[in-house]
Amino acid sequence: MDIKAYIESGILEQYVLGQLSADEAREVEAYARQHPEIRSELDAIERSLESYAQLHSKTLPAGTLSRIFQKIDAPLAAISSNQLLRNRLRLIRGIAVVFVLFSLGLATYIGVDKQKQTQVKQQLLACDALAQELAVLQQELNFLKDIDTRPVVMNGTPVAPNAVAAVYVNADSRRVYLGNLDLPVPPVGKQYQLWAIVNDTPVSMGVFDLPARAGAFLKVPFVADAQAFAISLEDAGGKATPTLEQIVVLGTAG
Amino acid sequence: MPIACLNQIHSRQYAIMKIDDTEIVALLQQKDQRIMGLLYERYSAALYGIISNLISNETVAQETLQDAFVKIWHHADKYDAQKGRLFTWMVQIARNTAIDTLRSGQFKRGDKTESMPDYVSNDARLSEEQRNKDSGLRRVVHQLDEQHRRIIELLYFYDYTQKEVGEELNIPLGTVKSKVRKAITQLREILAKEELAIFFVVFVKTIIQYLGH
Repeated sequence: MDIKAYIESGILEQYVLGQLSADEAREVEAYARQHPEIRSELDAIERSLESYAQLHSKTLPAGTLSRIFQKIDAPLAAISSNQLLRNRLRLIRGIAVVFVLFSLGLATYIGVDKQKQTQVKQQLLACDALAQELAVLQQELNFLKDIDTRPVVMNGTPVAPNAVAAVYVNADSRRVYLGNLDLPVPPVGKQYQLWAIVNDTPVSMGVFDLPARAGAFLKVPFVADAQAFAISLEDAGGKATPTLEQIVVLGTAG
Repeated sequence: MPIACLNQIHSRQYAIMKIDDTEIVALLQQKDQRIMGLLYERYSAALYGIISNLISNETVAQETLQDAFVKIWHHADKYDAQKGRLFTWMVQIARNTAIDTLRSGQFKRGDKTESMPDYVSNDARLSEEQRNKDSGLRRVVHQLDEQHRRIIELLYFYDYTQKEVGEELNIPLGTVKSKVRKAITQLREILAKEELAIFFVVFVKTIIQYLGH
């Protein structure tokens, strides 16, 4: 027997709605006993109509139940009200349990939600910081990749033989970066000052502190037509002319 | 998280309300009168709704409901779980009791001559009670095809035969027969979709009714 076709024939709906003859109904019942699929389909049909009927409920006047008890001749009026009271207490307790469960669930949900929000905020902040850093790196990379960018390596003088630094000069876009800084940490009250040598005259390009991040680049002012660059160790704030014996690195352009 | 939470609450409520039908039947068949309270609490309003469709006079409909419960009590041993659900059986008894009442004389099967309440197009016909409480019903009714709704209601609530449905709706008997499954299948789909919402409506109704005693 093709169970699927049998179910789809609609005979089960007819059965539940009482539209079949007694013989036909007995046949459906027999099939339902043999085939669990038919049984469960019948059950689903009945449940749907049951739900639908529940939706069409009509409220009865109070006292109907005791009238029924009177009619079935039950000495139960007293017991039933007692039972009702107990049932009602049980129901109220049930509602309380549901309410507490619901509140707990809601509170947990809100708590978890807050925690998540904080996490997301922190992650967004971290993202912003990373994006900023990336933008800076991108800018530096673009500058270094530029065909007009020329590096000038400054090597250590006898004052600091191991020191090294470099400037990257782009005359086209009139920008200069200072990088590859490997200089001794300056004593307290001292600062490094960068110089450009133009027509044999030193021109100050400003003082700087060693950057916290190794390999970081510092943007410095542009000076045209520099023959050479130098860094000297000066009193904090810098000077108008370099102290020659405190020049730590020196490099010629071109 | 919220879904899981709701499911948990849902099943908990279910556990409170859901004493198994087999348990009810067992107690009923042992003639344990205490079970009548629960049976009444759970099913009386729905059965009264069905009886009211057949008998428009409220007092007579209430008498009929009482009689139906008395029959359910006395004939509990005739209920066979193999044949279907307890509620389906009780609906049959309620319906037969209503028909007996109608046959016994003075009461006409009023609703066959009156037109049916039309939830979709004529909200003014709804009673105040229904309008306030039955948002769940209306959600379902609004989604049902008009013809499907009428087929189900005529067959299930108004105890029409399929032939009578065909005459009422002006469609051939064969078409009625094939539409019955379509109609109930659509109802099942809608109910499955609205399950949680409907559950709350029924739950709240039960509580209101219960506390009203």
